[in-house]
Amino acid sequence: MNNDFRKYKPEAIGKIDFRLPTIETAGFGNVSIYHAKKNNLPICQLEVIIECGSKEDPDAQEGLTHLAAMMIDEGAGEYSSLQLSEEFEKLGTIFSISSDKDIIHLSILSLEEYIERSVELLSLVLLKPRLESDDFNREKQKLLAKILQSKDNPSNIASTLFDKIVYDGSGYSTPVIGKSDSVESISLAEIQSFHKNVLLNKKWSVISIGSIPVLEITKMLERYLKDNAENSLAEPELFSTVNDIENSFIYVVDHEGAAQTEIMIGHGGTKRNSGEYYAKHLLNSILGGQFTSRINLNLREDKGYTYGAGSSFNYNKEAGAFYVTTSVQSEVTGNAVKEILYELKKIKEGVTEEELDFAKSSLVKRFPSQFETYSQVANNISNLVIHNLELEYYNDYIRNISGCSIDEVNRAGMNHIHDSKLAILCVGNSTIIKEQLTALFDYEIIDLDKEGNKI
Amino acid sequence: MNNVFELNCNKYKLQNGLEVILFRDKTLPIVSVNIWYKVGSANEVKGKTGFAHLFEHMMFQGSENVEKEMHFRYIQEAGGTLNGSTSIDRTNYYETVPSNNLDLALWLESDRMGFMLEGMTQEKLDNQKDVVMNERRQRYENPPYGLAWEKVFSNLFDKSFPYHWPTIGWMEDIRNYNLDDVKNFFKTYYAPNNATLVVAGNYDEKTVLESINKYFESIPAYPNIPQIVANPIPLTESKKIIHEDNIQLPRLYLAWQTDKMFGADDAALDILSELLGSNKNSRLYKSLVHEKQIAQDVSCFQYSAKLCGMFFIIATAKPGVDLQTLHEEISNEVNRLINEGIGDDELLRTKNSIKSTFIYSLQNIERVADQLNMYNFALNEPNSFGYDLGRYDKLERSHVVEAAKEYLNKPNVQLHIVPKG
Repeated sequence: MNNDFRKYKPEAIGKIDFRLPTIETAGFGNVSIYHAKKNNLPICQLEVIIECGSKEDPDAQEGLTHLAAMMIDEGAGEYSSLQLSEEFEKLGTIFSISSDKDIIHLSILSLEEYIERSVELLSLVLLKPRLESDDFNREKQKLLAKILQSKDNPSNIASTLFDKIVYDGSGYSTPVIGKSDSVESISLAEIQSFHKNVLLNKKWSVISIGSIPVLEITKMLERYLKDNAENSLAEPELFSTVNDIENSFIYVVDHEGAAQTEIMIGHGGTKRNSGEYYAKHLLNSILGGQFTSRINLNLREDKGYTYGAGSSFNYNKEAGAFYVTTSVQSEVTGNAVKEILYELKKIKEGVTEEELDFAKSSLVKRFPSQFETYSQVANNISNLVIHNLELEYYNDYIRNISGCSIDEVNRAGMNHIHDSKLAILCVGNSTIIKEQLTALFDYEIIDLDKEGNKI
Repeated sequence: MNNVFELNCNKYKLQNGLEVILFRDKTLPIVSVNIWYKVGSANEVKGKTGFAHLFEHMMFQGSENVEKEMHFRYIQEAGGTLNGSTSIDRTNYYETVPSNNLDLALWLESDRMGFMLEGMTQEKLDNQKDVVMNERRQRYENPPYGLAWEKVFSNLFDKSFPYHWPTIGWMEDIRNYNLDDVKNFFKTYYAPNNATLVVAGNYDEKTVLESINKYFESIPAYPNIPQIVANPIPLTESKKIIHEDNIQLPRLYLAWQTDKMFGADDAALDILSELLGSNKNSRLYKSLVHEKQIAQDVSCFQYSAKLCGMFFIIATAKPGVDLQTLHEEISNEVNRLINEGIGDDELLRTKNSIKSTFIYSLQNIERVADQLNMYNFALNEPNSFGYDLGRYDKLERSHVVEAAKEYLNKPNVQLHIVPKG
């Protein structure tokens, strides 16, 4: 049997035909509606984005937004907490609420035949939460236990403390779930007031994916949410810029009995819609955004230090951050940090045409598969809303990625990766870690406890 | 509505024994290639635990015509995604690519199915042993409660039963693998007649079989592929294990041996787990978390595998609550269900949830492809979505209660994970 054909990689056959879903818009009062048609299954996805997040939690009340988000579906309208959950379950509707630094996010995945009833229940949660004291005490205790548990997980500790360091001085520096003493101090009256004065007065965006026409969805939403349509919009608060670190520092957090060291290395950065996005995206794809990126190939496939390593430009609404993250065997912590610093220095010296072509090919050709599930489409639209991007963003995406020159990508490296102003954070067995880091680097080493206080 | 579960797929068998399943879906211009090899950690032997998983890693390290890293590079350059996973019963590999690049995925899969050893070196093995030891640290040893699974499995099954050890393997065994292990494993299990290839998505109907034949039909079958014959030895008495971990809140794991995947009681046990611990209204959540507030969380599930099933109840204590209290309350709720039965409405809403979850699961072609392979593996019939859902639809209240009585009254494993000191 002649196996010669196996020597050659098969080439793609023909072009693919992909049409983006069209985004239609509608709205009433302070509710904006974004709708994309999708009809391969008899289902409907609905997302509500409310522009209030933990970044606006008052001092000493960190966790307020999160606790309020936990509370609004603990009984609403004529239903108690358990009854409400039962009503959703009867329909087979998956309902969830989450909150982050910028938004409260409510999500519904429903069979099309039950979408109206699902919207009706959703409207009770938004407009008529009961906010009663038994439910409040229970949820507050739940949150306090969650805060206690968050200190168990080294990767959790690392990401929380990394934000505390790089966003120091802004609302992004505090954990979404709050701190023990701040949550302890929150009263039910404050949750009730938050709902009435903040949640109801913010801009709401509803993203709907399904086969029901936009007009019909709009009428349905208006029928159930119109009570809120007349509220006046609160002015978004001005946001102070993030802390700029002068030099690189090493931060070490001791985690007793750790089998590995969690490493995060990076700094603050610009927000999502502030320019050079595509160049940064391509740059990161080469540096640490994919399996075959430089950092993973070095730390995993060459050195075997880790199960995986990567980098990311991460975006909150008003500010972003750049970081490399990995989890390595304790004994190689120093060497792993050294390799990461080497890769950061090296990427600033420029990428090759070959690397850039590879990154472009990967991102451009992968694009259609980003619109497969209902929730993928909904998340894509959510990103436009959260980061104030143009509705045509996805129509222009391929052209913008393809059009990035190597100079633009290299300039993004110079402008957005600051390898002499890094927060180098290591969570693990501090004795082993510090011995290695002291031997390899001159940076000042700062010991932190698990709350991020200097020891 | 029921017609969404009728997936029009076709099944073929090549002369070398490779099963091929085709499912066409033109929703998007993408196609998913998904191969299951009928080998998992249950096929391993003493001293070589975790090898099926390490071998999965080696399958990404290149083959005769594919250099190291190039498997990833080719797929990513084409705009595709890829991965693999190992369970106790099987190992799967998959790529989802733009539909005009189907042949690329078939080429890569066939090259490692037929010619993997030609690309193997000691250096690659040593590197991936390090990677896998770090995977074990990152996923099991470092996270809180991370060693719970291997503690439960190794106590629920005796040493002779192949679910006794964890899929990732014992650290000492990982350290000791050698190149001969790789060769022997490949020559024992990685053959077309031990695999099933699913191609799902927007492929060209006229050329797809031709391509599959081109890449796969010349790969020879193996004469004798060993099959596992094993039955778990039932526990004669309950085992209580206490493990200290770097955590704040103690957690209780209860585990029982139960019916296997698609066994007569499998669906009843699934429903039982939903009724006990799936959401706010489930009995254990309602009692332990909502009303008595002695637990931070509770969950419950039937994990069904090829040789047998396992039923789990897991609860984390609130600060200041001991695990004995949790255990007593869990027993009370289970006994109440057994003695008083369940309600029609309770069963109906659980069935509704299961049905809609089935429909939601059809959104992703990679997941559908994997599910077709799972049905084929367990039932020898890929198009079993309707049959599978029917198992739940037909269930009567009495069956759920009987299953609880039969299995949850037996001796179990009681793992207590408690704070150090």
